[in-house]
This record gives sequence, C-alpha cells and structure tokens, in this order.
Amino acid sequence: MDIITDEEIINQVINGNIYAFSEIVIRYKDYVFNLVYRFVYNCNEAEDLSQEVFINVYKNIDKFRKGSKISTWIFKISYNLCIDWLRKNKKRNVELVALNEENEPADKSCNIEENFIKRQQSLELHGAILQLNKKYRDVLILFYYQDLSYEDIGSILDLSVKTVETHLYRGRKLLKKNLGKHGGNIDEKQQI
Amino acid sequence: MKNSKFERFKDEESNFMEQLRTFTNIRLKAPEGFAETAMNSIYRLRRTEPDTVKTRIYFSRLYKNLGVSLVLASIITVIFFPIPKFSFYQSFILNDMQRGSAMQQTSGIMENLAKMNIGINSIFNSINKSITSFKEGT
Repeated sequence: MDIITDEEIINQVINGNIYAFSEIVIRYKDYVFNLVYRFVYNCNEAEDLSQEVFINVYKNIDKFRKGSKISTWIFKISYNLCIDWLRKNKKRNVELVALNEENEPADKSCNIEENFIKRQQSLELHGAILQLNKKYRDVLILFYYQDLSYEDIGSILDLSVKTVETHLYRGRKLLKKNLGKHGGNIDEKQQI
Repeated sequence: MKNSKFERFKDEESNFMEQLRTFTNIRLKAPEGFAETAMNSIYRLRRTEPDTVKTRIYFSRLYKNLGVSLVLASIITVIFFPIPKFSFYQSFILNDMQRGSAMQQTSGIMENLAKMNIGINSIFNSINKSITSFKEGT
C-alpha cells in the first residue's frame, strides 16, 4: 500500500480537500503535544495550544515552502505559539505539575516505588531546564525532549548549527551546575 | 584508572549526557480525542470563513502579479520618461521669461514622448498581459 506523503496531503488541502488535513493532525499530534507541554508545563494548556497550532497550520498552509520539511515547519509554528504564551504568562511561577498517569508511560521493568522516584526525577529535571535562560532552554528542549537534529533546531530557532551546538554545550553545563554541587548527577540530586 | 584530568572530565560529561537522555526519553501522547477536537475546530473555522486558504492563495497571486507589473511599469517610466527639469509648480513661481522657457521645455518633452510611441498604453498593456497570464494560470 502506498503511503501518501506530507506534500501530497498539503496539495490536497490547498485544492480544497479539508478532510485530508486530518491526516496531518493524526501524524503530528503527539509530537506537537510533547513539544508544547515541555514549554508550558501544564497538560490543559498544552492541549489548547496544540489545537491552536493545528489551526494555525491550516490557516497558513499556503505559506508552506515546498521542498522543506513539514515537521520542522509545524514545530516552528508550535515553538512560536509557546513563546507567545510564555510571554503572556511571564509572571507565572514554574510549578512542579504532576503529569497525567496516562501521559507518562510507566516503566514496566520498575516497581511502583522506582517509577515514582523516576517520575519525580524527570519532573525535577524538566523544572530545572525551564528555569534556564531562554536560549539554552529552547535548545535543550528541542534536542532532548523532541529529539531533533542540530539542523532542524537551527531552522526552528533561526540559528546556525554551530550556535546550536554551543548553546547546547553551555546549557548542559549550566544545567549540571544548577542541578547540584554533586557533579551534576541527577540521581544524587534526588537523594538529597 | 583515569590518568588525565581531561579524560575524567569527558567521562563525567558523557555520564551526565547519558542521564539527560534517560530522563528525557519520555514521549508524551496527545490526549484521547485530540485529533477529532482539532478537526472540529478547523471545520468550524471553514464554515465561518469559507475557503479561506483558496481565497488567500488567489489574492496573494494577484498581488504578486500586480507587484511585478508595477515594478516593470516603474522601470519603464524611469528609463523612458525622464523627470522634467521644471515642474509645473516651479513654473508658477518663476518670472514670466523663465516660465516661458520652462513651459517650452515641458511641452518639448511631451512632444518627444508622443514621438517615442511608448506611452502610458504600453504600461497598461504589460499589466493586462500579466493579469491575462495569471488568469490562465501560467
């Protein structure tokens, strides 16, 4: 069976087939939600913002440059919306909001206690990343949580690959320092 | 045994990177029914603003073509229609003799333009041509 490409779907949407757009939503909903959640740190807000992302993608579909990666374009729209949201909610304190049970898959190889500890550790780490300077925070989120390449991060943030590498290195260093004076070990930090 | 400071640092660094990878590898999933809700919002949008995308594409192409025509027309104007030395406004504040010579110059230029046979019509022709090509979808 032939798998329809993203570009073909976009052409169909441009030609008036709105139903084809649901395929884009299905393909990218998890990626977008994951990315948005990493910035806003709140499930409900992340859901609303992710929907807004897809509405914006639909509204601006004619602006998509053929030949470029649709995933990068969607992530760029998501990132811009997140930044707008963060700007509007500047005074908001970063709270450790527990993830929904269904959202965070439990590690089946661990017992309940281990899972709880692991969850707490990842929440702490997430909180620490969000406290970083914007330039380091963005690169770290896109690289680690979204698993994007340097090139993709560069095109989303309008940075060169070299700058992405530098920000990643410095961000990691800063994160390690912020996480604790015990060599930046995430596990050790948790045990304090 | 690690014999150099640099190697120890490299080890520490890779250990930290590994930990980061472990704690960030959870990929969240969009909530149940997310796609349906998103598509409903888009259908609603489509009902309130029918065929927004198509209309916008039409107008963006139209503006692009008009823009190209305008640039072409400006280039033609600059090349073939040099700005007269004396404007009509200047001719009013000059004395009679100067005004006479200014008017003479202006009328001379106008005569030349008529002779050159490249007038406003050519600009409109180019605009018409691009609109026709746009309509034909080329």
